[in-house]
Amino acid sequence: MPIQNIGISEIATYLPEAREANRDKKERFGIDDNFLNTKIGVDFVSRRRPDEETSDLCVSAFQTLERKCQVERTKVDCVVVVTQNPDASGIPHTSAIVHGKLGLDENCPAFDLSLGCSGYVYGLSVVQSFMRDHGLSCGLLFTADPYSKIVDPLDKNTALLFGDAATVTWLTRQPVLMPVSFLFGTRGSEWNTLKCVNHVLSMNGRAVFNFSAVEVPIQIRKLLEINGIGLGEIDFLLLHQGSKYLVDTIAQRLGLSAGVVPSNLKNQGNTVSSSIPMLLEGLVHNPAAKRLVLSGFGVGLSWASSYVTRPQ
Amino acid sequence: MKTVNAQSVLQTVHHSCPGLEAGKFNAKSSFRKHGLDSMDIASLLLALEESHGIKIPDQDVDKLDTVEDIVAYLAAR
Repeated sequence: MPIQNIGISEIATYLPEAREANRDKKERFGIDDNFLNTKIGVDFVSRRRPDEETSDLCVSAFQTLERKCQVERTKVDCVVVVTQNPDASGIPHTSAIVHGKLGLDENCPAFDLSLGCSGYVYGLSVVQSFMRDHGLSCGLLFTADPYSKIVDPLDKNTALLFGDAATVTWLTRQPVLMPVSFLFGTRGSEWNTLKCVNHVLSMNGRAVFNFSAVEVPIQIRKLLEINGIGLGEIDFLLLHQGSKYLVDTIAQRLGLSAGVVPSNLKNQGNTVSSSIPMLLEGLVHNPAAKRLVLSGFGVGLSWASSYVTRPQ
Repeated sequence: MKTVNAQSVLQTVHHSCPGLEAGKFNAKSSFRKHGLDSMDIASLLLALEESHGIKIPDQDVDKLDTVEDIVAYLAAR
């Protein structure tokens, strides 16, 4: 059954002002500029204020959205927050807190999705389907996963990579961009690859690299085949920004140039589920972006890709 | 399994790590001493896994610092 009429109308981002400079960590981790520039690709990781909770990041993103477009709080009828670093203990769910802070209608459903780097693509499908099936018309999909809550500053695998940010995607019945097709994947047998132990993130970088480099191109090729589209026909491939080396590797394996595979790591780092919508935000109103593929992958292991088009 | 020899592994090394100077790197050269970092080595090992149809467990990675190490490792598999 085709996915009808619910799609993306606008996207807004909140990027905290504070930064940690990776150049200040070179001596600690025994790395050089070449490694930072060609492999990590991150000059600064963004950091929320200590008093900023995950819900506050979402609210700030929504305030940016209000300044960008005609979204009205009274008309919001669906709120979903993608996060694995919720407010406090996670009870209540962060979307309920966001709902309260925004003063939304009590008839509005609000729930969280516990996903990481694949979360935006999963979230698009979930919200689109939920809204369509329940006759909703004004949905907000938030991504806010501040890994600063769990990153060990002495862990070379993670301290150079992850930044804090939040995004909000406004979904309506008058979309500018329409997700038309999705593929999903889970490899629970490798759940151990990225995990949080005693509130500290632990990542097997090699395992994440191997999984992503192999499985993401396979899924993207399958998605395009299903939709009758060739690799050369897509205008933009928006990959989760795991690291520069990972993005470059996947692009190379697909034979795509840097012009088709944008990156936004330098000034904030890997913002988990926010990395794809942050890239997409700049393309929402770009008429040259007619056929896009979004692909998120990571913790779970979980991955998902979507083919997105611009309705005439 | 694909034929394993120093030449084939060297080809894979140079393909995976294009920045490596061909004339200064041979079968006895240390990857780490020639500046290959963890991501380079991950990429190299993935290429070897894919071309030889094997999996190289994490606990074996530190043993593989030269082409000769890899040839001996693959031959033993």
